[in-house]
Amino acid sequence: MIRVFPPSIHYTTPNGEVNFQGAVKEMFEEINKDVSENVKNDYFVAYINRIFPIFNTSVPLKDYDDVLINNKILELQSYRAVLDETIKSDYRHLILDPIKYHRKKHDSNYEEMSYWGSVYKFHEEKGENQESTLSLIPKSFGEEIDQTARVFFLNCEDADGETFGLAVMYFIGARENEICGINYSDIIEMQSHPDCHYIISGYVTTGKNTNKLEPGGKTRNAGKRTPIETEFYQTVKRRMDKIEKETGKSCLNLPVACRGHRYDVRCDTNDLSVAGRRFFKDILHIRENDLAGIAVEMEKLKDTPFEEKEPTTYLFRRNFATRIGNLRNDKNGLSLSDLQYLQSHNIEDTKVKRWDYNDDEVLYKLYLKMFKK
Amino acid sequence: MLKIKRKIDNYISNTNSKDQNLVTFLNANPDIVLDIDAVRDLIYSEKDDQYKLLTLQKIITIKLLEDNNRPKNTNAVFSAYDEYKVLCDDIDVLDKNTFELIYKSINNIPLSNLELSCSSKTINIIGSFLSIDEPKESIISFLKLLSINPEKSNIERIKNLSVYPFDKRMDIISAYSGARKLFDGTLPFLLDLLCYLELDDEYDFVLENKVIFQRFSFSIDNSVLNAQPILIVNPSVWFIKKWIKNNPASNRRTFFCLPNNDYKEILETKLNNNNIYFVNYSELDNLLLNKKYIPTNTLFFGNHFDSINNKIHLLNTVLNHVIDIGLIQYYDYDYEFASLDGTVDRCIVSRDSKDINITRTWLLPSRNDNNKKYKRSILMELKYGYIKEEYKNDFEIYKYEINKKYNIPYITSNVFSIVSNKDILNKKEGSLREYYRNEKLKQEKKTDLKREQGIRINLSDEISYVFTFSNKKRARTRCYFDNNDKAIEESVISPTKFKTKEEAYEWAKYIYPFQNTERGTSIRQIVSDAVSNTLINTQICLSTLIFINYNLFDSLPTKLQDEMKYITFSSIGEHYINQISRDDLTSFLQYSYLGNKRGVHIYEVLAVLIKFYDVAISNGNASENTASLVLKELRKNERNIELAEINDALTLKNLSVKEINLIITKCKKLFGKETAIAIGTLLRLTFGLEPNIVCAFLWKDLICFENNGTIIYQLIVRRQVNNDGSLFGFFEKDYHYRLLPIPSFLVEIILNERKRQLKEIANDNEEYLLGCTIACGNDSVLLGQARILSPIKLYEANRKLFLDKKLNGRKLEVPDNKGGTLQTNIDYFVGDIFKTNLRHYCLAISDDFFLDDVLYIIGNKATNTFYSNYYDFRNRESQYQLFIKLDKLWRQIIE
Repeated sequence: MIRVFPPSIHYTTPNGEVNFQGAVKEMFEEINKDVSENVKNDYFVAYINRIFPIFNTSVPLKDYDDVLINNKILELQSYRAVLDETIKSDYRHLILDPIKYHRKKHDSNYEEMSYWGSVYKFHEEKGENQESTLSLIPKSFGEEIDQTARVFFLNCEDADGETFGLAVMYFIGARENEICGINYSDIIEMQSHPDCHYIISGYVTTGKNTNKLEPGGKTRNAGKRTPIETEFYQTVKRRMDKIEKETGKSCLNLPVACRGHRYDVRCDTNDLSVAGRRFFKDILHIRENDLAGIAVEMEKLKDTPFEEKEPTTYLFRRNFATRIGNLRNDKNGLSLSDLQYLQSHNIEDTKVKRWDYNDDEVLYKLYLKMFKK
Repeated sequence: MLKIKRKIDNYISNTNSKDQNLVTFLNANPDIVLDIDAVRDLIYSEKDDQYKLLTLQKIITIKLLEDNNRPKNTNAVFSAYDEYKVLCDDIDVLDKNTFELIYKSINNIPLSNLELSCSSKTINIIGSFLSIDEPKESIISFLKLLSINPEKSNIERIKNLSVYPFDKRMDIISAYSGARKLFDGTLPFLLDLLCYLELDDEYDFVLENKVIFQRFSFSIDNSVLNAQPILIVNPSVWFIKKWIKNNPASNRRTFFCLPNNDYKEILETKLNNNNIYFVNYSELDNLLLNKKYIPTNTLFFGNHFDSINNKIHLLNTVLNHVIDIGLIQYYDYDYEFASLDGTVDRCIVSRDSKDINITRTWLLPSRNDNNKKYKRSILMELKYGYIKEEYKNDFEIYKYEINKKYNIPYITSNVFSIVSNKDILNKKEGSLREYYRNEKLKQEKKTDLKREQGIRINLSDEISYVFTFSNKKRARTRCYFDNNDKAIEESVISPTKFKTKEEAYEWAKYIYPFQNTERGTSIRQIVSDAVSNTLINTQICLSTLIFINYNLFDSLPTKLQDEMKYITFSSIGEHYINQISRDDLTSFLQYSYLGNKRGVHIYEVLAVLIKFYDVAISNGNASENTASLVLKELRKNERNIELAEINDALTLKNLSVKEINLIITKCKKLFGKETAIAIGTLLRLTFGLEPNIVCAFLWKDLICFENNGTIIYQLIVRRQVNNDGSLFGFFEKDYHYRLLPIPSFLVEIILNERKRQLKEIANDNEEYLLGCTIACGNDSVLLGQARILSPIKLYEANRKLFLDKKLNGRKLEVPDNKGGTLQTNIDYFVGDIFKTNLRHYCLAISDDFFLDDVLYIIGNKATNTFYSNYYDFRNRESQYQLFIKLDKLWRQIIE
């Protein structure tokens, strides 16, 4: 059966550019080639009755950025109280996919937008449902991959700024926008314990889609001091020396995560996401389906903040959480409060306050628990 | 028209160069399709440009033909459509409506002569001039000749004829003789012809002339006999024609000041009205020197001057003479407005006279840059009089539209003033239109509680709203809530049209408050956001309490939501919460719900009410939870709730080490006889799993990995089976999906069973074995290739196990409230005992486990974000740690 989009709808803007409706019309069959006829019909009806009316035909497709699209999705999801989660996610895809596919097809410079959910397609295992397939996808790196990542990051002093940002992310488990806010001056030596270092993060972060700094982080728990192991500090030191040699200036006020080798240009969260995806694919060889699964899973978790709906952040943070979580030991290891502090979560234990960790002695204890078994 | 046809013919022949698409072409040549909106179905359709062009070309051809041979029937469009169909043998035919739309919008002279009000005779002549493509100037000079010396003109014409090619000469002779006939006729015919020639100009449109005519003729007082004359400077021919036809100032003289002698001479020959005079620019000065001729009303057309100097000069002349009682209307287009850089303004403002009353009018088209629609819609007027004193509020903006039925322009009732003149002179046309739109929107939004037809409805003492409805539209019934001094207005679409006021009232009272607005937010949420802060620590009604806590309300199932609505509108809802006593509430609930009158159990309603009361207490609206008191009293009659709680706390929910060992030995004995039950029981015992999960384990759920030389086996919990074992199912929550490391004492047993099944069931086919169940019974249900032990059977077998004499040794005696004792037994709790048992040993006996480890194993949700979202239990290191802990625990128990 061939579905015909009604001619009464405008598929171009008055200037003759393609608008959202036009993109849907062009890409509908291609996107839904694997979908059964009945479902295709449902999608078709949803486009005509629900989705098209909220898209202005005079806005060209190229004007849709992720903020605008997210607004549209929210608008649609609240439209006549769409309650069902699966329908919500269906609508999300009905809006995102045409734009994505159309740009992929027509724009050679097209780069995936990082907040758009999964760039990969998630395949369920035969005979299993989505959850059961998801339940087998690793949420952290696993022993061998973790070792590969660790070795790679310990020797990345010559790499581009985004990769170095990922290294910091790997070692301190902060969010992407917090990583972007870190300068070299935020890597601090403990006064009473030389050779032990920690990184302050989360007090300044970058905004969405920009590399401009804003005070504060995601929550009031964002600020933290994370001890780093000595080997990683050596890497940092080598990089700092190299930068100072190349630029001839002190690097203390430079961002840790910079754009390529332009050391004075701060990168933004999108840069880190793109670098992260490349890193997973090229260095760690993580399967695309696994990454897609992580993205799918994150969409389901209601309490995952919007900023973290990106496999890069999520995997690094989860991996960090798992690494420190395995060091938990109520006698001489990390306590739950330590874990929650390091993960920038609310500390539930009423005995411990966040500011307790500002003390060098407490940080040194944390350092010992984390790195000296 | 021919020009248009040429344009499009040219374009068609050049379409091979695809650098210009049709829409941009049409936008650049707005005279081809005047109103793109009207024909956008064709222009934005999927058809290729060639098709669209051909269609347009055909329609223009027909229109041209129609104009030349004007048909007498009134149904001209339909006969044109028939012709079009005949023409189109090579392209698809448009439907009738689309054709009509394009046909009408394709030229500014519609086929019906309504707009120009031309006679059909004139149209014919115009058509013949068009067909020979005669320039305007030569027609005018011919007419001029006619007016001076009719005899000589014929000779001139014949002389000039030699310029034209031979085959065209007959057409030219007939066209000019037609024009001559027109000239010999009456003045209107002549004016029609001139009108056509004039309105070719892009700055002149019939519609605007109509508006100007209307506004100017309204300002004329025609009752005074022999009053001062009226002066109209540089009018369009259409305006003259209209003036002569309607003659709004029949008692007064009218002077038309025309740019040159040509028109003056042509028109004067035919003029038979004593009150109308034509003068040219140079004569104006002399005319105004005579006090008798100083006009009281002047209309100055600023739109089609050929030079700006002329314009300023003439304007100065008029302003010099028109004083005292003068009323001047100055009419201009926005094109000038945008480009004039205030020359006219300076000319007027510099004149310092306070007595001249000058109104300047601009007509602003509603065209935007992307889509040129030559439809003007906004009228802006500026009163220059009294500039010094009242500088403010001088600009007024109107909107004019066309009444489609009578085809006359009218000005809408919305008028807006602009505060600062300086701002407006800097404004561009687009921003003015925007200004008008914004002002109009603002005006529409302005509301107050005194709106007509409003009915005040009290939902409770605290919340009331005013409801207005109209019979015309069923949609957007508006109510607005009273919030101290601020009114919140939200419109809601009502499902049906109300027939009576009562019906509407009914809807507004009982249904509207629980509706969602057009934007999707619920009315309750909006009201609650606005009101709830003011209601803390005050006395509120029960209905207010239920209405405002929308979160709680929305979380209820529909059935209970209906009950809450019932309570909101019931008698008890009107009372203050603190004043409702336990007896009041009890009697109300018993009256409404006892005997399942309303289909809902009284306890369900009470459970919800308790939650609402809790909120009320935390907000300081109530001092005690009356609903929970009612519940307690009701329950006391049926069952002693406190005793049940004590019983629960004192019931033994775990097995002793001895008992566990006994079960393990018993299970081992069962191997060979009831292997499935033995394996199932052991799995339940080890991990505290439900029988539905245990029976659903397949061999492909058994996986392993190596850690420092130890092989660790894991079970994937990812499906369950329904109670009779006939259907696999999945879980609702994702934390039910988990990976469990198997302690070593169980590994041996499972691996042995695997060996056995591989031999006996799968015939050494390992791949086949993957689809078989781990707990595989002899009399099992077949589900695919898997033989499933039904969970009910496993459950019953476990129950039997506990009824065994050796396990059934201990009983508990719990004090009764009547002084006696009640007995409780371990098999009373057999349902969950494996789960509680594991929890007990992990957390109460062993020191190694963290709470979240145990919650993960038994499939409960983690208590904090760290474990629920971040920590990865499936990581090998994490699994290894879990294995060590479990293995240690079970070693301790077994030894």
